[in-house]
Amino acid sequence: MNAEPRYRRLPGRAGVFIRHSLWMGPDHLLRVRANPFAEEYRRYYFKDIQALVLTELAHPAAYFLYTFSAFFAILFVALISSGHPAWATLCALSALLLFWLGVRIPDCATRILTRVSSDRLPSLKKLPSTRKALAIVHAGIAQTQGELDAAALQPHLSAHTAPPPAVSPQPELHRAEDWAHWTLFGCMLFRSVLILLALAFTIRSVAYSLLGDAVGAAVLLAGVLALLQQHRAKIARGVHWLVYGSLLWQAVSFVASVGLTGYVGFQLAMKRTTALTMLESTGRLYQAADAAAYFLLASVGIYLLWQRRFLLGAPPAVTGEVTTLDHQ
Amino acid sequence: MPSTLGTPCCANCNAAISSGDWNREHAFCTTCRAPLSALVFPAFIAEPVRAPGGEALGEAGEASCFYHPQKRASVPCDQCGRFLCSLCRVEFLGENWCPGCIDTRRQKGKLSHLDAHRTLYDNMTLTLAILPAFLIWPTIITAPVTLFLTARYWRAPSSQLPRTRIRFILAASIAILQIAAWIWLLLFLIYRRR
Repeated sequence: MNAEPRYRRLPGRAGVFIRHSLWMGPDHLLRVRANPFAEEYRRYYFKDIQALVLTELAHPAAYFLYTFSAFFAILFVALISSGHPAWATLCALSALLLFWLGVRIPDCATRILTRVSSDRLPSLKKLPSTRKALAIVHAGIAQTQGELDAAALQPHLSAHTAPPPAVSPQPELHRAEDWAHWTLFGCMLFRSVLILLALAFTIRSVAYSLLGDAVGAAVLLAGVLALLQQHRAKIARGVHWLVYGSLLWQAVSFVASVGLTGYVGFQLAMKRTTALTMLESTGRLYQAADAAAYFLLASVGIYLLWQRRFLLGAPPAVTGEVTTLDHQ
Repeated sequence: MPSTLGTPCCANCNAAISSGDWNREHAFCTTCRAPLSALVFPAFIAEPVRAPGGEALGEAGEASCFYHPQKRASVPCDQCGRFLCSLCRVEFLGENWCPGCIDTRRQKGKLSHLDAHRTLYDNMTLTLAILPAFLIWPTIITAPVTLFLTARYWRAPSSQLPRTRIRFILAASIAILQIAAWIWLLLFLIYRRR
Protein backbone atom coordinates (compact mmCIF):
# COMPACT_ATOMS: atom_id res chain seq x y z
CA MET A 1 0.00 0.00 0.00
CA ASN A 2 2.81 2.39 0.82
CA ALA A 3 4.95 1.44 -2.14
CA GLU A 4 5.82 4.60 -4.00
CA PRO A 5 4.52 4.69 -7.54
CA ARG A 6 7.14 4.35 -10.25
CA TYR A 7 7.49 7.40 -12.40
CA ARG A 8 8.86 7.91 -15.87
CA ARG A 9 10.20 11.30 -16.82
CA LEU A 10 8.48 12.98 -19.73
CA PRO A 11 10.40 15.18 -22.18
CA GLY A 12 10.63 18.87 -21.31
CA ARG A 13 12.01 20.84 -18.44
CA ALA A 14 12.07 24.46 -17.35
CA GLY A 15 13.75 26.69 -14.83
CA VAL A 16 17.20 26.96 -13.33
CA PHE A 17 16.79 27.49 -9.60
CA ILE A 18 13.08 26.60 -9.52
CA ARG A 19 12.80 23.62 -11.84
CA HIS A 20 9.63 22.25 -13.39
CA SER A 21 9.22 18.77 -14.76
CA LEU A 22 6.51 16.31 -15.68
CA TRP A 23 6.43 12.63 -14.77
CA MET A 24 4.20 9.79 -15.83
CA GLY A 25 2.90 7.47 -13.14
CA PRO A 26 0.87 4.28 -13.51
CA ASP A 27 -2.48 6.08 -13.47
CA HIS A 28 -1.62 9.75 -13.23
CA LEU A 29 0.55 12.58 -14.38
CA LEU A 30 2.82 14.20 -11.79
CA ARG A 31 3.77 17.84 -12.13
CA VAL A 32 6.86 18.64 -10.06
CA ARG A 33 8.04 22.06 -9.00
CA ALA A 34 11.39 21.75 -7.30
CA ASN A 35 13.82 24.06 -5.62
CA PRO A 36 17.18 22.67 -4.45
CA PHE A 37 15.79 21.63 -1.06
CA ALA A 38 12.17 20.67 -1.66
CA GLU A 39 9.74 19.38 -4.23
CA GLU A 40 6.06 20.16 -4.67
CA TYR A 41 3.75 17.77 -6.46
CA ARG A 42 0.50 18.02 -8.28
CA ARG A 43 -1.25 14.93 -9.58
CA TYR A 44 -3.57 14.71 -12.55
CA TYR A 45 -5.26 11.34 -12.76
CA PHE A 46 -5.81 10.09 -16.29
CA LYS A 47 -9.49 9.50 -15.61
CA ASP A 48 -9.94 13.15 -14.59
CA ILE A 49 -8.10 14.87 -17.44
CA GLN A 50 -10.62 16.56 -19.70
CA ALA A 51 -8.41 18.34 -22.18
CA LEU A 52 -4.85 19.25 -23.09
CA VAL A 53 -4.24 22.46 -25.00
CA LEU A 54 -1.02 23.24 -26.81
CA THR A 55 -0.58 26.79 -28.09
CA GLU A 56 2.37 27.78 -30.23
CA LEU A 57 3.97 31.05 -29.25
CA ALA A 58 5.92 33.28 -31.60
CA HIS A 59 8.35 35.03 -29.30
CA PRO A 60 10.14 37.79 -31.21
CA ALA A 61 13.00 37.94 -28.73
CA ALA A 62 14.13 34.46 -29.76
CA TYR A 63 14.71 35.53 -33.37
CA PHE A 64 16.68 38.51 -32.14
CA LEU A 65 18.79 36.47 -29.78
CA TYR A 66 19.61 33.86 -32.44
CA THR A 67 20.37 36.57 -35.00
CA PHE A 68 22.69 38.47 -32.71
CA SER A 69 24.25 35.25 -31.51
CA ALA A 70 25.11 34.39 -35.13
CA PHE A 71 26.33 37.94 -35.64
CA PHE A 72 28.68 37.67 -32.65
CA ALA A 73 29.88 34.29 -33.88
CA ILE A 74 30.81 35.81 -37.26
CA LEU A 75 32.44 38.72 -35.47
CA PHE A 76 34.38 36.22 -33.36
CA VAL A 77 35.80 34.59 -36.48
CA ALA A 78 36.68 37.99 -37.96
CA LEU A 79 38.40 39.13 -34.76
CA ILE A 80 40.34 35.88 -34.37
CA SER A 81 41.59 36.10 -37.94
CA SER A 82 42.56 39.75 -37.49
CA GLY A 83 44.50 39.00 -34.28
CA HIS A 84 42.27 40.38 -31.52
CA PRO A 85 41.98 37.43 -29.11
CA ALA A 86 40.58 39.40 -26.16
CA TRP A 87 37.72 40.92 -28.14
CA ALA A 88 37.19 37.60 -29.91
CA THR A 89 36.76 35.84 -26.56
CA LEU A 90 34.26 38.46 -25.47
CA CYS A 91 32.34 37.98 -28.72
CA ALA A 92 32.37 34.19 -28.36
CA LEU A 93 31.04 34.45 -24.80
CA SER A 94 28.36 36.89 -25.93
CA ALA A 95 27.37 34.55 -28.78
CA LEU A 96 27.10 31.61 -26.41
CA LEU A 97 25.13 33.62 -23.85
CA LEU A 98 22.70 34.95 -26.45
CA PHE A 99 22.26 31.51 -27.96
CA TRP A 100 21.59 30.00 -24.52
CA LEU A 101 19.05 32.73 -23.77
CA GLY A 102 17.41 32.11 -27.14
CA VAL A 103 17.15 28.40 -26.46
CA ARG A 104 15.50 29.08 -23.12
CA ILE A 105 12.71 31.21 -24.54
CA PRO A 106 9.50 29.18 -24.77
CA ASP A 107 7.96 28.58 -28.16
CA CYS A 108 4.78 26.99 -26.87
CA ALA A 109 2.53 26.85 -23.82
CA THR A 110 0.52 23.90 -22.57
CA ARG A 111 -2.56 23.82 -20.38
CA ILE A 112 -4.23 20.86 -18.72
CA LEU A 113 -7.93 20.93 -17.91
CA THR A 114 -9.75 18.86 -15.31
CA ARG A 115 -13.19 19.36 -13.78
CA VAL A 116 -11.74 21.42 -10.93
CA SER A 117 -8.63 23.01 -12.36
CA SER A 118 -7.08 24.51 -15.44
CA ASP A 119 -3.32 24.67 -15.00
CA ARG A 120 -0.32 25.46 -17.09
CA LEU A 121 2.39 22.85 -17.48
CA PRO A 122 5.53 24.99 -17.30
CA SER A 123 7.93 22.21 -18.28
CA LEU A 124 6.28 21.84 -21.68
CA LYS A 125 7.58 24.99 -23.31
CA LYS A 126 9.45 23.72 -26.36
CA LEU A 127 7.50 22.33 -29.28
CA PRO A 128 9.47 19.16 -30.10
CA SER A 129 9.63 17.94 -26.49
CA THR A 130 6.02 19.00 -25.84
CA ARG A 131 4.77 17.03 -28.83
CA LYS A 132 6.64 13.94 -27.64
CA ALA A 133 5.33 14.34 -24.09
CA LEU A 134 1.75 14.92 -25.23
CA ALA A 135 1.88 11.82 -27.42
CA ILE A 136 2.88 9.72 -24.39
CA VAL A 137 0.25 11.33 -22.14
CA HIS A 138 -2.40 10.99 -24.82
CA ALA A 139 -1.70 7.27 -25.04
CA GLY A 140 -2.04 6.94 -21.24
CA ILE A 141 -5.31 8.85 -21.17
CA ALA A 142 -6.71 6.96 -24.14
CA GLN A 143 -5.92 3.71 -22.35
CA THR A 144 -7.94 4.86 -19.33
CA GLN A 145 -10.75 6.84 -20.93
CA GLY A 146 -10.74 5.71 -24.54
CA GLU A 147 -10.98 8.10 -27.46
CA LEU A 148 -13.62 10.77 -27.69
CA ASP A 149 -16.29 9.90 -30.21
CA ALA A 150 -17.50 12.82 -32.33
CA ALA A 151 -21.05 11.51 -32.16
CA ALA A 152 -20.93 11.40 -28.35
CA LEU A 153 -19.67 14.95 -28.31
CA GLN A 154 -22.38 16.34 -30.57
CA PRO A 155 -25.10 16.90 -27.91
CA HIS A 156 -22.63 18.80 -25.70
CA LEU A 157 -21.36 21.16 -28.35
CA SER A 158 -24.03 23.81 -28.10
CA ALA A 159 -23.12 24.38 -24.45
CA HIS A 160 -19.44 24.78 -25.24
CA THR A 161 -19.48 26.87 -28.35
CA ALA A 162 -17.05 29.70 -27.76
CA PRO A 163 -18.69 33.09 -27.38
CA PRO A 164 -17.79 35.65 -29.99
CA PRO A 165 -14.60 37.46 -28.97
CA ALA A 166 -14.93 40.84 -27.31
CA VAL A 167 -12.49 42.41 -29.74
CA SER A 168 -13.75 43.75 -33.01
CA PRO A 169 -13.29 41.41 -35.94
CA GLN A 170 -9.94 41.90 -37.63
CA PRO A 171 -9.42 41.75 -41.37
CA GLU A 172 -7.94 38.65 -42.89
CA LEU A 173 -4.32 38.81 -44.02
CA HIS A 174 -4.20 40.07 -47.53
CA ARG A 175 -1.29 38.83 -49.52
CA ALA A 176 -0.46 42.35 -50.70
CA GLU A 177 -0.11 43.71 -47.17
CA ASP A 178 3.44 42.57 -46.69
CA TRP A 179 4.98 43.87 -49.90
CA ALA A 180 7.02 46.53 -48.04
CA HIS A 181 8.52 43.81 -45.85
CA TRP A 182 9.49 41.70 -48.84
CA THR A 183 11.06 44.79 -50.43
CA LEU A 184 12.88 45.69 -47.23
CA PHE A 185 14.38 42.25 -46.69
CA GLY A 186 15.14 41.84 -50.40
CA CYS A 187 17.00 45.17 -50.48
CA MET A 188 18.86 44.27 -47.31
CA LEU A 189 19.95 40.98 -48.80
CA PHE A 190 21.05 42.73 -51.98
CA ARG A 191 22.97 45.34 -49.99
CA SER A 192 24.77 42.68 -47.96
CA VAL A 193 25.81 40.93 -51.20
CA LEU A 194 27.09 44.25 -52.60
CA ILE A 195 29.17 44.90 -49.48
CA LEU A 196 30.56 41.37 -49.46
CA LEU A 197 31.53 41.63 -53.14
CA ALA A 198 33.22 44.98 -52.49
CA LEU A 199 35.14 43.43 -49.61
CA ALA A 200 36.12 40.30 -51.49
CA PHE A 201 37.29 42.00 -54.71
CA THR A 202 38.30 45.39 -53.24
CA ILE A 203 36.01 47.28 -55.62
CA ARG A 204 36.62 51.05 -55.48
CA SER A 205 34.39 52.17 -58.34
CA VAL A 206 32.33 55.34 -57.86
CA ALA A 207 29.40 53.82 -59.74
CA TYR A 208 29.47 50.81 -57.45
CA SER A 209 29.48 53.08 -54.38
CA LEU A 210 26.53 55.02 -55.78
CA LEU A 211 24.64 51.78 -56.39
CA GLY A 212 25.36 50.72 -52.80
CA ASP A 213 24.13 54.09 -51.49
CA ALA A 214 20.97 53.85 -53.61
CA VAL A 215 20.21 50.41 -52.23
CA GLY A 216 20.93 51.72 -48.71
CA ALA A 217 18.41 54.52 -49.27
CA ALA A 218 15.90 51.97 -50.59
CA VAL A 219 16.41 49.90 -47.44
CA LEU A 220 15.70 52.93 -45.29
CA LEU A 221 12.61 53.86 -47.32
CA ALA A 222 11.28 50.30 -47.32
CA GLY A 223 11.94 50.06 -43.59
CA VAL A 224 9.87 53.18 -42.89
CA LEU A 225 7.08 51.94 -45.20
CA ALA A 226 7.10 48.52 -43.54
CA LEU A 227 6.92 50.20 -40.15
CA LEU A 228 3.87 52.16 -41.22
CA GLN A 229 2.28 49.17 -42.93
CA GLN A 230 2.69 46.59 -40.22
CA HIS A 231 0.39 48.40 -37.82
CA ARG A 232 -2.53 47.55 -40.06
CA ALA A 233 -1.42 44.21 -41.48
CA LYS A 234 -1.52 40.88 -39.65
CA ILE A 235 2.11 39.97 -39.97
CA ALA A 236 4.12 37.64 -37.72
CA ARG A 237 5.31 39.41 -34.60
CA GLY A 238 8.88 38.31 -35.30
CA VAL A 239 8.78 40.25 -38.57
CA HIS A 240 7.62 43.35 -36.67
CA TRP A 241 10.68 43.13 -34.47
CA LEU A 242 12.98 42.48 -37.40
CA VAL A 243 11.77 45.70 -38.99
CA TYR A 244 12.51 47.57 -35.76
CA GLY A 245 15.87 45.80 -35.63
CA SER A 246 16.79 46.72 -39.19
CA LEU A 247 15.92 50.38 -38.61
CA LEU A 248 17.88 50.34 -35.37
CA TRP A 249 20.84 48.75 -37.10
CA GLN A 250 20.74 51.37 -39.83
CA ALA A 251 20.79 54.09 -37.17
CA VAL A 252 23.69 52.42 -35.35
CA SER A 253 25.53 51.87 -38.60
CA PHE A 254 25.05 55.51 -39.60
CA VAL A 255 26.26 56.81 -36.23
CA ALA A 256 29.26 54.45 -36.32
CA SER A 257 30.27 55.53 -39.83
CA VAL A 258 29.90 59.22 -38.98
CA GLY A 259 31.87 58.72 -35.77
CA LEU A 260 34.63 56.81 -37.54
CA THR A 261 34.91 59.34 -40.35
CA GLY A 262 34.89 62.22 -37.88
CA TYR A 263 37.59 60.59 -35.77
CA VAL A 264 39.84 59.92 -38.77
CA GLY A 265 39.26 63.45 -40.07
CA PHE A 266 40.27 64.85 -36.69
CA GLN A 267 43.40 62.70 -36.61
CA LEU A 268 44.36 63.79 -40.13
CA ALA A 269 43.79 67.39 -39.15
CA MET A 270 46.26 66.80 -36.31
CA LYS A 271 48.67 65.44 -39.00
CA ARG A 272 48.59 61.87 -37.64
CA THR A 273 48.65 59.84 -40.84
CA THR A 274 48.47 56.50 -39.02
CA ALA A 275 44.73 57.17 -38.86
CA LEU A 276 44.50 56.19 -42.54
CA THR A 277 45.80 52.71 -41.76
CA MET A 278 43.34 52.48 -38.90
CA LEU A 279 40.56 53.61 -41.23
CA GLU A 280 41.47 50.85 -43.68
CA SER A 281 41.37 48.00 -41.12
CA THR A 282 38.46 49.30 -39.06
CA GLY A 283 36.53 50.16 -42.18
CA ARG A 284 36.77 46.58 -43.44
CA LEU A 285 35.67 45.28 -40.06
CA TYR A 286 32.78 47.71 -40.00
CA GLN A 287 31.73 46.69 -43.53
CA ALA A 288 31.92 43.00 -42.63
CA ALA A 289 29.74 43.61 -39.57
CA ASP A 290 27.32 45.63 -41.67
CA ALA A 291 27.07 42.91 -44.31
CA ALA A 292 26.64 40.18 -41.68
CA ALA A 293 23.89 42.08 -39.84
CA TYR A 294 22.01 42.87 -43.07
CA PHE A 295 22.34 39.31 -44.27
CA LEU A 296 21.13 37.76 -41.02
CA LEU A 297 18.23 40.14 -40.50
CA ALA A 298 17.16 39.74 -44.12
CA SER A 299 17.46 35.94 -44.09
CA VAL A 300 15.41 35.57 -40.92
CA GLY A 301 12.84 38.06 -42.18
CA ILE A 302 12.43 36.35 -45.55
CA TYR A 303 12.16 32.98 -43.87
CA LEU A 304 9.44 34.23 -41.50
CA LEU A 305 7.48 35.86 -44.31
CA TRP A 306 7.81 32.76 -46.45
CA GLN A 307 6.79 30.51 -43.56
CA ARG A 308 3.75 32.65 -42.81
CA ARG A 309 2.66 32.78 -46.41
CA PHE A 310 3.37 29.29 -47.69
CA LEU A 311 3.72 26.95 -44.72
CA LEU A 312 1.14 28.02 -42.17
CA GLY A 313 -1.18 29.96 -44.37
CA ALA A 314 -3.16 32.85 -43.06
CA PRO A 315 -5.03 32.33 -39.80
CA PRO A 316 -8.78 32.30 -40.17
CA ALA A 317 -10.58 35.58 -39.87
CA VAL A 318 -12.71 36.09 -36.77
CA THR A 319 -16.23 35.46 -37.87
CA GLY A 320 -18.02 35.38 -34.55
CA GLU A 321 -19.88 32.28 -33.48
CA VAL A 322 -18.56 28.93 -34.61
CA THR A 323 -21.09 26.16 -34.65
CA THR A 324 -19.78 23.64 -37.13
CA LEU A 325 -18.16 20.42 -36.02
CA ASP A 326 -15.02 19.42 -37.84
CA HIS A 327 -13.61 16.44 -36.05
CA GLN A 328 -11.25 13.85 -37.32
CA MET B 1 -7.44 37.04 -17.19
CA PRO B 2 -8.61 34.04 -15.15
CA SER B 3 -9.13 30.87 -17.10
CA THR B 4 -12.61 29.57 -17.70
CA LEU B 5 -13.12 26.23 -15.97
CA GLY B 6 -15.10 23.73 -17.93
CA THR B 7 -13.96 24.94 -21.32
CA PRO B 8 -10.63 24.32 -23.05
CA CYS B 9 -8.81 27.65 -23.21
CA CYS B 10 -5.96 28.97 -25.30
CA ALA B 11 -2.75 28.55 -23.29
CA ASN B 12 -1.56 31.95 -24.49
CA CYS B 13 -4.52 34.30 -23.95
CA ASN B 14 -6.97 32.13 -21.97
CA ALA B 15 -9.74 32.69 -24.50
CA ALA B 16 -12.19 29.82 -24.85
CA ILE B 17 -11.52 27.55 -27.80
CA SER B 18 -14.55 27.01 -29.96
CA SER B 19 -15.83 23.45 -30.12
CA GLY B 20 -15.21 23.29 -33.86
CA ASP B 21 -11.48 23.46 -33.14
CA TRP B 22 -11.38 20.60 -30.65
CA ASN B 23 -9.30 17.57 -31.63
CA ARG B 24 -8.20 19.23 -34.83
CA GLU B 25 -4.58 19.03 -35.80
CA HIS B 26 -4.30 22.65 -36.94
CA ALA B 27 -6.44 25.37 -35.43
CA PHE B 28 -6.01 29.01 -34.49
CA CYS B 29 -7.10 30.91 -31.41
CA THR B 30 -9.88 33.26 -32.40
CA THR B 31 -8.56 35.97 -30.08
CA CYS B 32 -4.76 35.93 -30.25
CA ARG B 33 -4.60 33.94 -33.51
CA ALA B 34 -1.87 31.68 -32.21
CA PRO B 35 -1.74 28.19 -33.74
CA LEU B 36 -3.06 25.68 -31.24
CA SER B 37 -4.30 22.15 -30.81
CA ALA B 38 -6.86 21.16 -28.20
CA LEU B 39 -7.08 17.49 -27.28
CA VAL B 40 -10.42 16.84 -25.61
CA PHE B 41 -11.06 13.53 -23.84
CA PRO B 42 -14.22 11.62 -22.85
CA ALA B 43 -13.97 12.92 -19.25
CA PHE B 44 -14.99 16.27 -20.65
CA ILE B 45 -18.50 15.09 -21.47
CA ALA B 46 -18.86 12.55 -18.66
CA GLU B 47 -21.45 13.42 -16.04
CA PRO B 48 -19.91 14.06 -12.60
CA VAL B 49 -20.46 11.23 -10.12
CA ARG B 50 -22.64 12.44 -7.26
CA ALA B 51 -21.67 11.15 -3.80
CA PRO B 52 -24.57 9.43 -2.04
CA GLY B 53 -25.76 11.25 1.04
CA GLY B 54 -26.19 8.16 3.19
CA GLU B 55 -29.43 6.52 4.25
CA ALA B 56 -31.11 7.34 7.54
CA LEU B 57 -31.47 4.60 10.14
CA GLY B 58 -34.67 2.67 9.58
CA GLU B 59 -35.09 0.18 12.38
CA ALA B 60 -33.68 -0.06 15.87
CA GLY B 61 -30.69 -2.37 16.07
CA GLU B 62 -29.29 -1.42 12.68
CA ALA B 63 -25.58 -0.65 12.58
CA SER B 64 -24.96 3.06 12.35
CA CYS B 65 -22.10 5.05 10.92
CA PHE B 66 -19.27 5.87 13.35
CA TYR B 67 -19.20 9.49 12.22
CA HIS B 68 -22.94 9.94 11.63
CA PRO B 69 -24.91 7.99 14.27
CA GLN B 70 -28.21 8.79 12.56
CA LYS B 71 -27.13 7.18 9.25
CA ARG B 72 -27.12 3.53 8.33
CA ALA B 73 -23.68 1.86 8.04
CA SER B 74 -22.95 0.32 4.66
CA VAL B 75 -19.34 -0.92 4.91
CA PRO B 76 -16.61 -1.24 7.53
CA CYS B 77 -13.30 0.61 7.11
CA ASP B 78 -10.68 -1.84 5.82
CA GLN B 79 -8.05 -0.26 8.08
CA CYS B 80 -9.70 0.33 11.48
CA GLY B 81 -12.97 -1.59 11.14
CA ARG B 82 -15.23 1.34 11.96
CA PHE B 83 -18.67 1.27 10.37
CA LEU B 84 -19.12 3.82 7.66
CA CYS B 85 -22.14 5.21 5.86
CA SER B 86 -21.96 5.72 2.12
CA LEU B 87 -21.12 9.39 2.70
CA CYS B 88 -18.05 8.62 4.82
CA ARG B 89 -16.79 5.70 2.78
CA VAL B 90 -13.73 6.64 0.70
CA GLU B 91 -12.65 4.29 -2.04
CA PHE B 92 -8.90 4.45 -1.90
CA LEU B 93 -6.33 2.10 -3.42
CA GLY B 94 -9.06 -0.45 -4.08
CA GLU B 95 -10.24 -0.52 -0.45
CA ASN B 96 -12.81 1.20 1.74
CA TRP B 97 -11.17 3.72 4.04
CA CYS B 98 -12.60 6.10 6.60
CA PRO B 99 -11.54 9.79 6.51
CA GLY B 100 -9.85 9.40 9.90
CA CYS B 101 -7.51 6.64 8.69
CA ILE B 102 -6.55 8.63 5.61
CA ASP B 103 -5.84 11.69 7.69
CA THR B 104 -3.80 9.80 10.29
CA ARG B 105 -1.71 7.93 7.75
CA ARG B 106 -1.16 11.06 5.77
CA GLN B 107 0.08 12.94 8.83
CA LYS B 108 2.48 10.10 9.57
CA GLY B 109 3.80 10.31 6.03
CA LYS B 110 2.71 6.77 5.24
CA LEU B 111 0.60 7.65 2.23
CA SER B 112 3.04 8.71 -0.39
CA HIS B 113 0.19 8.75 -2.91
CA LEU B 114 -1.17 11.88 -1.29
CA ASP B 115 2.04 13.77 -0.52
CA ALA B 116 2.11 17.18 -2.10
CA HIS B 117 5.48 18.19 -0.72
CA ARG B 118 8.77 16.50 0.07
CA THR B 119 11.87 17.97 1.66
CA LEU B 120 15.13 16.92 0.05
CA TYR B 121 17.30 16.33 3.11
CA ASP B 122 20.04 14.74 1.02
CA ASN B 123 20.53 17.98 -0.91
CA MET B 124 20.51 19.91 2.36
CA THR B 125 23.22 17.77 3.91
CA LEU B 126 25.33 17.87 0.76
CA THR B 127 25.09 21.66 0.66
CA LEU B 128 25.95 21.81 4.33
CA ALA B 129 28.99 19.64 3.69
CA ILE B 130 30.28 21.56 0.66
CA LEU B 131 29.50 25.26 1.03
CA PRO B 132 31.11 25.92 4.45
CA ALA B 133 34.26 24.18 3.20
CA PHE B 134 35.05 27.28 1.15
CA LEU B 135 35.36 29.25 4.38
CA ILE B 136 37.17 26.37 6.17
CA TRP B 137 36.47 27.43 9.80
CA PRO B 138 32.69 26.83 9.83
CA THR B 139 33.30 23.16 9.07
CA ILE B 140 34.22 22.64 12.77
CA ILE B 141 30.48 22.94 13.41
CA THR B 142 28.92 21.99 10.10
CA ALA B 143 30.76 18.68 9.62
CA PRO B 144 29.28 17.05 12.77
CA VAL B 145 25.91 18.62 11.98
CA THR B 146 26.09 17.10 8.50
CA LEU B 147 26.81 13.69 9.96
CA PHE B 148 23.93 14.06 12.42
CA LEU B 149 21.49 15.12 9.70
CA THR B 150 22.61 12.26 7.47
CA ALA B 151 21.95 9.75 10.23
CA ARG B 152 18.71 11.45 11.28
CA TYR B 153 17.15 11.62 7.82
CA TRP B 154 18.70 8.54 6.20
CA ARG B 155 15.36 6.76 6.30
CA ALA B 156 13.14 9.81 5.92
CA PRO B 157 11.01 9.76 2.79
CA SER B 158 12.88 11.54 0.05
CA SER B 159 11.73 12.58 -3.37
CA GLN B 160 8.85 10.70 -4.96
CA LEU B 161 10.88 10.58 -8.13
CA PRO B 162 13.57 7.98 -8.77
CA ARG B 163 16.51 8.98 -6.56
CA THR B 164 19.44 7.21 -4.90
CA ARG B 165 21.13 7.97 -1.58
CA ILE B 166 24.37 9.00 -3.25
CA ARG B 167 24.03 12.58 -1.97
CA PHE B 168 23.78 11.36 1.62
CA ILE B 169 26.83 9.15 1.09
CA LEU B 170 28.80 12.01 -0.48
CA ALA B 171 27.80 14.42 2.28
CA ALA B 172 28.76 11.95 5.00
CA SER B 173 32.08 11.18 3.30
CA ILE B 174 32.94 14.86 2.98
CA ALA B 175 31.94 15.49 6.60
CA ILE B 176 34.07 12.57 7.82
CA LEU B 177 37.03 13.91 5.83
CA GLN B 178 36.53 17.35 7.34
CA ILE B 179 36.36 15.94 10.87
CA ALA B 180 39.46 13.82 10.20
CA ALA B 181 41.30 16.90 8.95
CA TRP B 182 40.37 18.85 12.08
CA ILE B 183 41.48 15.99 14.35
CA TRP B 184 44.73 15.72 12.44
CA LEU B 185 45.31 19.48 12.80
CA LEU B 186 44.53 19.37 16.50
CA LEU B 187 46.93 16.45 17.09
CA PHE B 188 49.56 18.14 14.97
CA LEU B 189 49.34 21.31 17.06
CA ILE B 190 49.43 19.37 20.34
CA TYR B 191 52.45 17.27 19.40
CA ARG B 192 54.22 20.23 17.88
CA ARG B 193 53.90 22.17 21.17
CA ARG B 194 55.44 19.25 23.11
